[in-house]
Amino acid sequence: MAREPFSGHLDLLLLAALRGEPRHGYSVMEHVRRASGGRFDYPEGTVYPALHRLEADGMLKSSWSEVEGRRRRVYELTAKGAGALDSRRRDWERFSQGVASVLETA
Amino acid sequence: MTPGHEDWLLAVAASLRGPRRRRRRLLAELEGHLEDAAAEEVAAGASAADADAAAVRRLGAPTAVVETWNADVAARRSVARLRIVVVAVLVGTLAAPVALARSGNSSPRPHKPPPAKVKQERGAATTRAS
Repeated sequence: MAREPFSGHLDLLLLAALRGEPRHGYSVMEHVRRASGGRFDYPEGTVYPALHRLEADGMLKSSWSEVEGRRRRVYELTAKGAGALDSRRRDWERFSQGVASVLETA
Repeated sequence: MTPGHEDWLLAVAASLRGPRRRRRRLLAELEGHLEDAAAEEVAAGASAADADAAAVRRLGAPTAVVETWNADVAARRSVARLRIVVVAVLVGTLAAPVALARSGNSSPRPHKPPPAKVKQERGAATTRAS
């Protein structure tokens, strides 16, 4: 899949990946790749600036943790992030339903 | 850390902007990501050299990380500067009327010459009278 659709919704995908459980960056990317059936193949390095930005905006919080013997920065959703995820999910659903409705007439 | 990983991280580190503490954290996370990606490639059957190369490839070009990071740093600095300007204008707007009110309320004190001058004036008056 093209990169643009992914990058346009990167924040939504990252927030969604952290909805269920705290994860470190690599695990976030793994989750997104697996859950999307491998459709989102994007430079993994750019996920970290996005995670930092979401944390600076109060959507995520993070701390160092030992994961399988390795020191990793683990991110988790804040209440503000959960609210933003719900809001963006609704926006996305409205958008995709609108596109689907138009496509049905084609 | 392998030479390939180190080169990639150095290329990123050379152009990153922003607070040192945040930059160091980002680089530590990227290093961890390279380790995890290489370990996954090895587990999938790749040789150590191929796994290291694949891990670097998966992270993408250093410039992509740097550009995304630096754009955010620049945006946050602009917002911080704008906040300072807004606060300065607000403080000025609030302080100016208060200062003006204070200067308007203060009544001028009657002029009172210093004691030495009073004595001199009295002395002169006595001389003129005599």
